[in-house]
Amino acid sequence: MKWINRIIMAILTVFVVASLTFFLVRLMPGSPVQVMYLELIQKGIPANQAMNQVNIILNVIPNEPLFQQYIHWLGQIIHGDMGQSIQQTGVPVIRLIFNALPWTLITVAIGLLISFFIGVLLGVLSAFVRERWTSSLIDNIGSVAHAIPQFVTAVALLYIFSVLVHWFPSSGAYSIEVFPGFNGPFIMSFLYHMALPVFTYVLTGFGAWTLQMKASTVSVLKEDFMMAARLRGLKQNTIMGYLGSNSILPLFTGLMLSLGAMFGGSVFIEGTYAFPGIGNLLATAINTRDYPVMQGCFILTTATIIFANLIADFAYTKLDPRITD
Amino acid sequence: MIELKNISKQFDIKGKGHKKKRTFVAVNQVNLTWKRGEFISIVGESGCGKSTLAKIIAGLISPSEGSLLLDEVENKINTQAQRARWAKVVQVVPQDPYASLNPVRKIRSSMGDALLYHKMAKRNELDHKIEEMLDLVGLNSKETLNKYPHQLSGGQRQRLVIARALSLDPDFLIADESVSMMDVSLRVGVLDYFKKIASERELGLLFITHDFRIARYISFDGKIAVMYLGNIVEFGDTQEVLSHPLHPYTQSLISAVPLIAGKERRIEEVIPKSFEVGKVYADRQQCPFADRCPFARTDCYEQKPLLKTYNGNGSSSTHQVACHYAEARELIENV
Repeated sequence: MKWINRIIMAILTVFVVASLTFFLVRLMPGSPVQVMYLELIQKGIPANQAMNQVNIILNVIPNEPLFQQYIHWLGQIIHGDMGQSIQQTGVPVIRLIFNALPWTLITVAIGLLISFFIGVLLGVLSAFVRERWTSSLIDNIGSVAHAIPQFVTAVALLYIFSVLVHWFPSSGAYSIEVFPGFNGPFIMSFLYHMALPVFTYVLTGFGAWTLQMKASTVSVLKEDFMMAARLRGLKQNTIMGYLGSNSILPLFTGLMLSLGAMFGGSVFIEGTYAFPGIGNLLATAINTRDYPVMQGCFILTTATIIFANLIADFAYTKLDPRITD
Repeated sequence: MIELKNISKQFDIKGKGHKKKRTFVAVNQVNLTWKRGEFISIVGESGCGKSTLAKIIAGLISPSEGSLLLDEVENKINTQAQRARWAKVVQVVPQDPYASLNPVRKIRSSMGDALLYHKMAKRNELDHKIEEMLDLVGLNSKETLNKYPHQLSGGQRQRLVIARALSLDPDFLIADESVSMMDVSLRVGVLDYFKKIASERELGLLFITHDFRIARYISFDGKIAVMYLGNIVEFGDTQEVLSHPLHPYTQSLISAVPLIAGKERRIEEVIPKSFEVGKVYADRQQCPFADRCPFARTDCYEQKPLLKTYNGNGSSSTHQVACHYAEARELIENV
């Protein structure tokens, strides 16, 4: 019963955020209708005719009040229709998103899992050698890697591996010579193209996991039950199991939230590598004031984060017996 | 029989800036003999090194100097095999039972891991074996087995960690402040339980406490060791030490215990010069209690007294004290 309430609340939250973004994107300076209208006027088309043309091309009702537009949008969204793109006239937003989603999903998932794995390993290592210089070295590397913004790391990697040594391609998700589908050449080409974006995710992501894991491990190491386990003469593997199952718990929520954020992709990383994912779609939509696409991306991101949080809460009650649902 | 021969443990304290690195002596030249079936209480205030001593005996930390003998054979605990063997000789009942149970594991695996590892139970008879253990300490075994530590009450957890310590069938049991976290109303029950189980199994019981009353209750027929800043300053039969304390520190502690009944006799009050615990570093050669001792003379600051058998006024020969001017204080009648 409690979980049903939570799910209803989550849906309501997504709805409220979606409604807010509806108005927010329309508060941005520059409207696509205005831009195209002025363009046509400049070409010498009379104002009246220009307005009609714009309305036909963009498929909008002229000078419709904002609230009317909202009601109109509400009717669409309830039927699961996110509308059509303004710039790519007539293409449904859903299709644009589903075209972009797999690229983002695969790269970010791989990047996230690798960075989580490396971060957890380094964090445990750092906790074990916490009184030595190695520990502060690991911590500092982690902090610095985490502190450098994604776009700086992305540009640096692009410059080194693509411009200087030509090891990896500089843009795209696959080579033009292969056909997308489940075939060897395409998969190899995709892996080759996603190497740099994944590497960027790993480099900018592992530091945070390292620091969190270290803090968590150090506090578990000091627990009495660790001492009690050594006291009973248990073997090292069992004791490491005791350590791991307790220290990784606090990182779990963070991991679930990151998995949620994954659907949003990274505007900076995908932008730098011209990778056709959600981040890139969103960036293009913002630049061209493509309202329906922007809203579609925002709803996707919000919904996944909110539901990932819900799943994390639910899974936590299964992982940690002290927390009851 | 476990023997401690000149056991010391030092910790390096990092110095910053102009302060040079110093060595802090947590346990200093401790000699102790602990037979099977013998009850010993170690009494001292916080930071006197009694827990460090317990950890050394339990094999959790290795001493900086000295040796640990089991049945007159020198015993080193470095490898996993040695640690596993020692686990079956000495077990500890920790201070905080809740913190010493892994919160994400059920009681079954908290209890069972060690039994399986030490091959004291086969996997198919494990449940039965654990149930026996739990029945022994009066826990409802069927219900407890599948619970998590947080689902038990404080008293149940206390009995559970006792059962867990006993499950490896040790010869010696260390209780590290085991009742200090409990309600006073529950203490006597747990103390009686410790005494009962240790007598039945002929366990050596080392009870670490800061409370003389608990020490007296536990080791009434045993021995008591008073520790101050890492040194044993007085050692002897419990009744002898409590009725004729010789070291000024023991005297000040005993005279500080308030009297309620009014019938007991007590020694005259010995009040230390300061109530702050000092620190003794490796480079100082003085009596550790000299800074606080109301009877300190110049040679107390120059020479460190060693633990010697005291033979004054016909007391028993097992009473040892580390003081240049040890003497029994006058008893005064409390009226």
